[in-house]
Amino acid sequence: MARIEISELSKDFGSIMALDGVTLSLDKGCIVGLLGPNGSGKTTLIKILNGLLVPTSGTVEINGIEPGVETKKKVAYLPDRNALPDYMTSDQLVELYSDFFYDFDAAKAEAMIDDLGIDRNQVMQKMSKGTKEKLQLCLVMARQADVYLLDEPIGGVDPATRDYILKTIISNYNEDGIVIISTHLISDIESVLDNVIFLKEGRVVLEGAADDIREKEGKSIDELFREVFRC
Amino acid sequence: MLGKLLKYEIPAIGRKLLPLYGAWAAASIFLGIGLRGFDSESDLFSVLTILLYVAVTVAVIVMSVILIVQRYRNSMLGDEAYFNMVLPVSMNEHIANKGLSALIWMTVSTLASLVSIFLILLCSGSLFDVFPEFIKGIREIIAEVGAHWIIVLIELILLSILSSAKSILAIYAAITIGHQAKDHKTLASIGAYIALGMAESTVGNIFMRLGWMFNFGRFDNLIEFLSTHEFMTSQILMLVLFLVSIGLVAAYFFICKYFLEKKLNLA
Amino acid sequence: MDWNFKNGIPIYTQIVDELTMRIASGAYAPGEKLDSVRDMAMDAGVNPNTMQRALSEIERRGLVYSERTSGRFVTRDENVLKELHKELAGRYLDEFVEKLQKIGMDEKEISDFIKEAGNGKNRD
Repeated sequence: MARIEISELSKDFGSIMALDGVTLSLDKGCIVGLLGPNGSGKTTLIKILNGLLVPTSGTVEINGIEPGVETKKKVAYLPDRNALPDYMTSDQLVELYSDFFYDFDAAKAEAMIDDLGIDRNQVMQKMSKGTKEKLQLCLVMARQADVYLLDEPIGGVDPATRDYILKTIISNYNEDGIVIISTHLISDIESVLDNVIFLKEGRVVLEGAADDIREKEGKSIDELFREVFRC
Repeated sequence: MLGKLLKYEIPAIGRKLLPLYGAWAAASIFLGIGLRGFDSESDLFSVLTILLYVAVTVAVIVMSVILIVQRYRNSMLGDEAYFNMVLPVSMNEHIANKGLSALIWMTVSTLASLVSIFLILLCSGSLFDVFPEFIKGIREIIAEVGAHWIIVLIELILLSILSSAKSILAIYAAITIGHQAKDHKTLASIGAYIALGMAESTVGNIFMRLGWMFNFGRFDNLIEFLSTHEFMTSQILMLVLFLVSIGLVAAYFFICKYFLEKKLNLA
Repeated sequence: MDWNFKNGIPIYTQIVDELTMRIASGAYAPGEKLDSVRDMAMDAGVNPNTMQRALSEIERRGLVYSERTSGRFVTRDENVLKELHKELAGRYLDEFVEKLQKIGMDEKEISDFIKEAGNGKNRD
C-alpha cells in the first residue's frame, strides 16, 4: 500500500529555486503524470523522492517514512541518464538486479529483454542510446515495487517501443502502487494517466484527475499544457 | 548486503588492474633479461628495458590511485550513483564496500610488486646471489630488535594496512567534501585533501609531543626506537599508533557518512 | 480493433461510447466473455482505472453483467439490446438531421432524401 506525502517542499541550488513550496499527496492505485517543461523541477522532485537530493526545507514521506534504505526497497527508479555499469551485459545486469532487489522478477525481465530484441550477451557500452534506455526500463519495470519513479521514460525511443513501454506500465500496474511518470511529451502518454501535476518554475500550477480536467477544460491535457506553458 | 556490493566492486577494479599486472610481470621479465647483459655491449636493450619497467610501474601506481578516486566519485557522486545510491543499502555498507575493495587491491598491488622483484631477480639470474643477502639483512634486523620480532612484524603489517585504509578514506573524505562546492569540484577536493592532511599532521604532532613529555623518546624512526627500547615499551607505542590510526580511519569514515547522508546533492 | 481517442473529451466517456457501440454492432456478441480489465486497458492503451470505471458504467446500464468468479459478459437480454439500438439510432439521426438543417434543408426534403438514400440514388 503506497502513499506519498510531500509537504512545503523547497529546494534551492544557490540562486535557483528548483522547487518552491510543493505540497502534494498521492494515494495508492494511480498513474501520475508529472508534467512540465525542462527546468521546471520534475527531476529535482523525483531525485528527492529517491534520496539522491536533500531538500532545503519541507518534508517528503513514502509510506510514512523519509527516503532511506527502507523506502529504497520499495521504490523502483528510472533515472534520466544511464547509471548502470556499462561494461556489463544484459544477463549480468539481470543478475545484479536479482542480487539487490528482492522484488525483482528475473524471468519477467528476461522476457521483456527478448521481446524488445535486445542481445543478452552484448555489453551495454556497445548498445545504441535507445537500446540502453529500453534495457534500463525493462530492469526497472520487472520489479514489483510499491512506487515507480520514471524520469522521462519515453524520451529517446521509437513509437513501437513507446507503445510497448506504455503497455508494460499498464500491465505492471498494481492496485496498491503508485507510478509517477515525468515527461514533457504529453500526447504520447496522456491516455494512461489518472492524475496530472503541472510544474512550473518549481511550483504546482495544476493538479487533478486527467478526465476531470479534460471535461472541465474541453481540451486534451496536451492542449492545456501547451496553453499553460506557452512561451 | 556488503558481500553483494563487494561481489561487484572487486571485479570492477580488477578488470582494469589485472591487465596492468600482466604488463608489469612482462616488463619485469624483460628487465631481468636486460640486466643480464648490462655490462656487455647490448646497452641499448638494457636501457630500454629499464625505461619500460619504470613506465609500467608508474602506470600501475598512478592507475591504482586513479581507480580509487574514480570508482568512489563515479558510483557515490557521479552518474553511476543514480543506480548505486538507490540500492537498499546503508551508507556504512556503501563506504565500507569502497574502502575494503580499494584496500584489497592495494594489498594485491603490494604483493604484485614483490612478485615483480622476484621475477626480475629470477630472470637476471641473480636470485641466488641476492637471496642470502636478504636473509642476512632480516637476521640483522631481528638481532637488533630482539626475539619478539614476529609480534612486532605482524603489528607493523597490520599498522601499514590500517594506514593504507586511512589514506584511502582520507581521499574519499576529500572527494566528498569537495563535491559540496558548486563549481570546481575537483579543485575543491584537492583543497580539502590538503586541509585534511594538515589537520592529520597536527594530530600526529600532538602525539609526538606527548611522547616527549613522558620521556618516551622520539619515535619517528621505528626501527631505531624498537632496537633501543624494551619490548613492553614498544608495545605501548604500538598501542598508541593503533589507536591513532583507528581514530583517523573512524574520523574519515564519519566525514564521508555525514556528507553522503545529510548533504548528498547529486547534480 | 483500434481505439482512437479524441482530444478534449474525457477518455472515460469515449470508452463508454466505444464499448456501447461494439455491443450494439455485435462486435461483442451477446453472451460473449470480455477480456480482463487489465487486458482491455492494455489493448486500448489506457489506464486500468479508467477502463474499470467505464466498464462499471456500462454494467450499470445493463449492457454487461459480472459473474463473481468467471468475469464479465455481454448481456443476452434482447430487450436491452433493442433499447440500445433504438437509443443509438435516435442519437445518430438527431445529429444527422441537425447537420442537414444547418445546410438549409427542411423536414420534407430531409425525409425524401433519406428514402432516396435507402435506394442508393443520391450518389453517382
